[in-house]
Amino acid sequence: VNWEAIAKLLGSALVIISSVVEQKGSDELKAELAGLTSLLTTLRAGQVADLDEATVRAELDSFIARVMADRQGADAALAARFPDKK
Amino acid sequence: VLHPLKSAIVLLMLALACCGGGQKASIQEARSGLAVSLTAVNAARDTMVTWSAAREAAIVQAATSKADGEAKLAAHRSRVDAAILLFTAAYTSIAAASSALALAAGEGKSPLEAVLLTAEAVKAVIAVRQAVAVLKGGGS
Repeated sequence: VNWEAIAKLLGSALVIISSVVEQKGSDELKAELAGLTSLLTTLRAGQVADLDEATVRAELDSFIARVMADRQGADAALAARFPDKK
Repeated sequence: VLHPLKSAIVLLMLALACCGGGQKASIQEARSGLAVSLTAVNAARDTMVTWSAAREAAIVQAATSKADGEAKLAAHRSRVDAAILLFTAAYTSIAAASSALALAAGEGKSPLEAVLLTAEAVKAVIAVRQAVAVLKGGGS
């Protein structure tokens, strides 16, 4: 099985699907698509062949950083919606 | 997205089957299983991060007051934090198994411990995927 060719084909299909989902899809669908895109990106980059402890730790660190950044963004948006009265 | 996890389990079974035979083959199969596990957990992570960010934006949008928004964000985050702990366990398991595999390969020792750690990593990945499914299914 030529996984690289399959990944490329699916990647192309994903670009088309993504544009439709971005316009009409639910948050649920967008989240699933993000996971699928991540999977295909990894496959296409051939990253599955390189695995060491530092790589794994870096994935975890970037995950936590993304969650924290998203939370700060939500906090800021909430504060902007309801500014403190002086 | 489930496919890599199934592959990881199949590869792990192959690795276990190889234990009595070629040491090199066991290490290679376990390494493949770990790599697929990492890909699966990364995909689950990206699904959850995207979903959680969208959920937080929706909470902010629907908030009737700052206190209301803060309370709902806190409730959502406490549920996400529980899933993050599982993700941390999964990444840590994969890292530990990866190190054990490198050690077994470098020193020519039995890969049994590394294969068992790989099994733990696969279990952790399954737990992560289940937690994300429950989290998304339950709303917040």
